[in-house]
Amino acid sequence: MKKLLVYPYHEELSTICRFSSLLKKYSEVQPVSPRGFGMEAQDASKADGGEQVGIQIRCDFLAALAECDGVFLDLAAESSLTAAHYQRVIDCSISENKEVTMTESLWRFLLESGVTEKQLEGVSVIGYTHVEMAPITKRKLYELPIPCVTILGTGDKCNKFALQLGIAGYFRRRGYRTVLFGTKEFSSLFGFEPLPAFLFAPGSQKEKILRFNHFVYEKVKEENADIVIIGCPGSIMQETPLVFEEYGELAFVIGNAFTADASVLSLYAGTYDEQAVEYLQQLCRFRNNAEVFRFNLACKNMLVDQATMAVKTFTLEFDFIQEKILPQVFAGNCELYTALAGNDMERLGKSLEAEMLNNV
Amino acid sequence: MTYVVFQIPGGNYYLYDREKNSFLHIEDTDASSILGYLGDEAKEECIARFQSQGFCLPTRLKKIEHPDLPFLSQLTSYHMGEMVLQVTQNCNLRCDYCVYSGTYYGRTHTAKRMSTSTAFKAVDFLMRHSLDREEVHIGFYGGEPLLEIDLIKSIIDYVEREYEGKKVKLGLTTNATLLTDETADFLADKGVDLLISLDGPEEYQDLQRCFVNGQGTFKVVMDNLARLRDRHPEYFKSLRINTVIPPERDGKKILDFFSQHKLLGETDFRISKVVDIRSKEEIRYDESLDRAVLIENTKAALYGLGYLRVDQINKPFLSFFGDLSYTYKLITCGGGLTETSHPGGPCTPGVRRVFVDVDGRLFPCERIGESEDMQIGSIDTGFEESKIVPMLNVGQLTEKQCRECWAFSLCSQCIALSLDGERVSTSKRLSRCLNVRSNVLCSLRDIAFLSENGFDFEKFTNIWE
Repeated sequence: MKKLLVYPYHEELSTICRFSSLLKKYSEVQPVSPRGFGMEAQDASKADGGEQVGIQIRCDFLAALAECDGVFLDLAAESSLTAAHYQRVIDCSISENKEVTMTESLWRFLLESGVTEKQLEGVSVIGYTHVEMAPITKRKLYELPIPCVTILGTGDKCNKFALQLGIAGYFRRRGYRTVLFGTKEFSSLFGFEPLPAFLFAPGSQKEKILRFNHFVYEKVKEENADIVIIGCPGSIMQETPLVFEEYGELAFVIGNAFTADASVLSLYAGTYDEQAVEYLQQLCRFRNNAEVFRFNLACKNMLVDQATMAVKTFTLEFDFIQEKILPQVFAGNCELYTALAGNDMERLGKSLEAEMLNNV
Repeated sequence: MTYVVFQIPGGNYYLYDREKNSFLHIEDTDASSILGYLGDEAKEECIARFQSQGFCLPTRLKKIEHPDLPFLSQLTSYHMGEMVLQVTQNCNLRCDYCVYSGTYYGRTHTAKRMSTSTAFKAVDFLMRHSLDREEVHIGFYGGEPLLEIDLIKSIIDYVEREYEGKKVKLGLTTNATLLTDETADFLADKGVDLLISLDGPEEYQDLQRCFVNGQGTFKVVMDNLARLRDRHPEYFKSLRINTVIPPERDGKKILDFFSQHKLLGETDFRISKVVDIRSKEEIRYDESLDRAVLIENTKAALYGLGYLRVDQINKPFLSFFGDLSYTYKLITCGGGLTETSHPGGPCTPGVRRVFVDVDGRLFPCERIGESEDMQIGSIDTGFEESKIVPMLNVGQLTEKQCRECWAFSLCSQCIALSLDGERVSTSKRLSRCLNVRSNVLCSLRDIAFLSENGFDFEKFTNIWE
């Protein structure tokens, strides 16, 4: 029974606690966050608003370290934690002979902040998959011989990775050889492949579509997989008219690399009428080549701060969504889920499995 | 009417439609028709034509309710952004226009100070309720907060010690009379944003901002600021000055004082009128101050259009662009009116800002006073949603009038402006409508005029960000 200390525990890492049973090398997780994150002694679900997971967040790093076998570190980009702080944490962990793993984002941050590679010796770095691919000679898109499920979202922090793990975990438990291309750098902690780094690099969409198609096709063959699940990072559309940043480029690339057999769209938890649901379906159909009949309500919503006009997300707890929001969403013939609640993930997995079996 | 026609300098007419929350240039004859100058028939024909283009349509509005209301409990649990701590109710000055001077309902100076344990509990409360916030603000307010500099030091130390990892911005509003070198060094070292109350020329400052013994404060404040500048020149540049101009003062003289002063010329100063929220007496201004401000705003506009150099304008009035850019964003990106909507104005109590008094009671902001009816909770028991809801939905007080008002989305009235003495008053809220609509109309005129003349609002968006 190996235990993984996750530091600094924040919203982006909540899936590690929520899906700890899927971890490859560890069977237990201890989330630890600085007190400044405001979650001391609370359940790990405090970070994402989902149903309780039964793991308490601690703030005493050294005490938690003594009880753990490995340490996983990530960059909490929204915090004020400095490189020196991370360095102290790394030094403590290494001196206690723990297996230390960090995300590539943190590794880059540390190097950019003046930490040397030598100071990071002994630390494993995980990130998006860097692939050496031969130049593409066949300029064609391969069709996948197995079912493919894509997970889309209307914005950041939409619980997309939780959906990916939930669905992948379901199919794995059901005995299917499951390949997941995850949207998080740390997907490999669960034995899944993170998306290839070239997707996030500069370059033409056309080349990315082709390369991604070939990359996934080869991987599926290599793994002899029964099902492939692909997470689409970011949003499917421009999030706000106020700032042009996210416009759904990667969802477009992935959607055009493969025609998914089923797609799940994760929405900010708001009220959606018939017109809105139909608009979203059409947007996915025509822009992302995805037929969406399953919607998830994330434990997040967004608002425009009236004082600054900045767009922000805010947490909505799962029970609040189920009680107050769900009844106000027009789903029509579609299926509606709150993935971070109860057995909704199981229900979603079953629904997808049934559709895949019918297709076969 | 849910739309308004206005004319800009140069003669062109525009129509602003609240349902679409946008404006468009219209022909002179259309303006005359809509305004009814050409008779009923012409008016009807013109409106029908605009309606076919999506303007001047009947309202979509069915219900007045603030959009944050359905999420209130979640927002107050996760999204609190700023806490202002009243570290003391005491002050070493006795300014006659001060909200604690005795001329306002519900507030007076007392010797009460915030205890260390209350302050720490307040900080804990903020941290527990701000999980979704990348950064939080803690402001120190009084009375005069520097009377409690030791408490402030211990609060900052507590934040640094206990809340590593959270981005915390600190601010302090002070009269600067107690700004010793040691205090200045501490505040500069901690990067505390200073907002200094200084009312301009010596004769005004000494007249209206006096020590308890009646002695003027100008020399003390200016000496302290000069030493602050010498010790921390970079920090000094970040200083902001708030200048209150009572009704009988010469506004131009005050503006000239700041723009020409060697020490203060580079600081960011804002002028404000005497607060009339909860005032026991009516506060009336003649036109002279507004005229002085209008001249400075016009000069800023001419600078924005390239007709004046930056050294020919009063720099603090660049904030004029900030305010306009904000309205411009609201209009260009805000979207149209929905079936359920609320007039602009109220920020969400407990979310954007919370004021904590010396006893740990929570209020929406420091402007609103500390009477029981405005209390929205306490640091021990949390927020009382039932107290917040009517503040958020203050537009329901004047539902009939708001439904028909063209300035609905651009309104700026919050609950504070509806206070008449000790109570919330519909008539008080309505009494401000004319002024609000006039200000909105001025903004629309300025935006249309500047847009027509090639002004780039995007260039100035950072001013309000």
